[in-house]
Amino acid sequence: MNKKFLSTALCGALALSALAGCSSGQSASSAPASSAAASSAVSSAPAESGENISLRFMWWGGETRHKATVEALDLYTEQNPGVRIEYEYGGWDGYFDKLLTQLAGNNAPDIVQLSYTNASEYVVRDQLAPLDSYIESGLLRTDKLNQTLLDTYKIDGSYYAVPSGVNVQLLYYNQTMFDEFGISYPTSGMTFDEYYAKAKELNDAARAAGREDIWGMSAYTNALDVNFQRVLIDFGGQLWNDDLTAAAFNSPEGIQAIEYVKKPLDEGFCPPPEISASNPAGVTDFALGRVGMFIDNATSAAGLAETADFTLGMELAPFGNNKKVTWYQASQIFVITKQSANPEAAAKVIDYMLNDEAAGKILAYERGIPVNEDIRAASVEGKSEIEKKELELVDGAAEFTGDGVPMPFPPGYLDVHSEFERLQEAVMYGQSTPEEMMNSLESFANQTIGKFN
Amino acid sequence: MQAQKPSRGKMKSYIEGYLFLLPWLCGFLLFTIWPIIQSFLLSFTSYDIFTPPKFIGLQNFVEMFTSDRIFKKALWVTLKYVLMSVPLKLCMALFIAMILSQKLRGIGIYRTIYYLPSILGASVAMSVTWKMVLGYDGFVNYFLGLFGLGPVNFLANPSLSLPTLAMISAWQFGSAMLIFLSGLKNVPQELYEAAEVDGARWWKRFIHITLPMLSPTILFNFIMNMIGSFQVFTEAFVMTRGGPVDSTYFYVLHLYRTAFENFRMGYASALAWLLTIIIVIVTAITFKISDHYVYYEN
Repeated sequence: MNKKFLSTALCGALALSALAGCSSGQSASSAPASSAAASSAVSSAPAESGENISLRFMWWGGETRHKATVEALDLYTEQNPGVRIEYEYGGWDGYFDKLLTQLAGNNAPDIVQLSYTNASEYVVRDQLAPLDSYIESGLLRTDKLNQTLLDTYKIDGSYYAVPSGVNVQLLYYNQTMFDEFGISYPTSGMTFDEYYAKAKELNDAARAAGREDIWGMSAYTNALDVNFQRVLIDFGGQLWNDDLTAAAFNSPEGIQAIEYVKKPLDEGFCPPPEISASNPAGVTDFALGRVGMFIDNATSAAGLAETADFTLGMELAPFGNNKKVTWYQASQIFVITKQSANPEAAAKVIDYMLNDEAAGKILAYERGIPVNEDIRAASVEGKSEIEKKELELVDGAAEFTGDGVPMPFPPGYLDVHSEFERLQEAVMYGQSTPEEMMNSLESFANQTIGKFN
Repeated sequence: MQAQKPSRGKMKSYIEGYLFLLPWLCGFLLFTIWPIIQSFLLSFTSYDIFTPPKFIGLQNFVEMFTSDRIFKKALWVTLKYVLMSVPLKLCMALFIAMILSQKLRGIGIYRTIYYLPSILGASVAMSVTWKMVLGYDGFVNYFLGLFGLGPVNFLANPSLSLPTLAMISAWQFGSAMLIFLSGLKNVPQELYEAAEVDGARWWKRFIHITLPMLSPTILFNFIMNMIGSFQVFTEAFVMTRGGPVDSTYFYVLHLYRTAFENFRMGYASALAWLLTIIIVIVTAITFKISDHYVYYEN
């Protein structure tokens, strides 16, 4: 712990001297701050204002996202001499291990891209800076952002994260397959029941034609917070109690929801789990041309269009039988770590990423559909057909929102999320019942969340 | 032998020796011994990386046996895997070693070829490849299809996934094979000649000469592979993620998830130490039993 104490003391000293440097305007007193900055990889031009801020920005993604992000950040540093941004990027694998190590070593980046599900993990461990003061002072403008989406990241009354982009669930379908069996395409605004009926129709046509190796749809499993929560809300249940201190899904509605998700499997119009599980890692039944329809995030559109060897069709995901359970969700989120020595500068960078027109143009749809509505409206220019359709659908989803508002994530959520997938797998394999699953998941969830209260 | 005080010259060469060892020794102390000591201490704490460790005595160990949902299951799955994979791998290694101990032309090349899989080992790339080969649309099922068989869901069927992983592990028989090869070379030829004169068939010779003479080598290979098998991780992590339905949820996978997905370093350290203790006990038992079966020439 000596080391931790030492580095905390050092950080404190640096922050103090940086403050002293700002208030007195003497460049000499800010020497320690600039020496700390010198340890970063990017070389700096001497700042005219005497202000010399160094930030680190960490994200994961593919090649195109890296290129766009670096370009956008370079433009920012060009416009703001005196601010330097060091990029740390890589793939999804090992990303959170790396972040964890850096946080533990008091060496965390200032701005971090997180998964839309895991802000609360870091909040309960006191690793994130609250953003309220920056939002209030207008450093981080949120007036053009979707308020519901923003509120998902309000934890104990404070905002800790902002969405990097908007996501909504789409229904992807294999047009080639529908043509082959002469079935009419699915449409936006279907209910779950209509979706099932469409899948069954396609499935029956395939069987009638002697095809045993294709199915109507993919199972709508996994993703506790999206897939399951949508069906659950549709049946009238809710995931957690209102103050997020305990599970509320172990209800008749919860069990109905699990049974409803399993129905296509029981009736044979989605592939058995034995087949889906044997796919190569990261490849879906839909991409393999094994199923006719598949519900996934809008962010998958470009990737699917690129790899599919059939004509890809897309519409909005079915919205529920009883309620409008469509909602916008974040594709990823941006947060500022508590260890950041310059949280204000970091907030400005995030503001730029979300609200600046030029940045919006460069970043395009690399983190989902732009979250700022003005930029979203302007973004359609010069986009591919798939991207235009994606944008159109995401905008159109508003019509089917209303009844369902996703709940925020309780602390320890990710553990519950993976336990849900583990237990649901057993149900899909027929080795456990929905009742057993809900009982087991409830006690696990309460135990996990209870650790933080 | 009697202990003697080393002479001055000897002392000097000792120092030189240790100086040469120093780089390795530093690395060993710093990156192996020190983390081991730390993990031992951490195993009595609750530690989530962000906040300082909190001493909680034996609570971690108590939790394993009382409230951990996965622990017993993971231990059982791992044990089954060891029981399947070790004998399979050793038989395979011995079989290939016997073939390769023949005096053939270009035998060196064959030995190299058979050793290759072990170099590729249990890497992530190999696991990804196996997953594709064994997939529903994979090569193996295509091949079976030619004979009107299958498709078999090797990795996605809860009752087949564990045996499949054990079979895949047998593929890396190379190092055991090399050790068997050298062991086979040390079996005195005159024993075989004498047996042949007495009219013993090949399998009689195998059972009454090769196996007994090879028994110390078998014991060595058995123990080494057993220790390795207890720590199986990559295959399950990449190919099955512990599934389907927990059928390949290995102990070390549980340990990894506890540490790096749930941030429970103290508990994970305790899991690691328990595994160490289990391996030590099983190895000791194996040694004890081996007294009755292993033949040492001198």
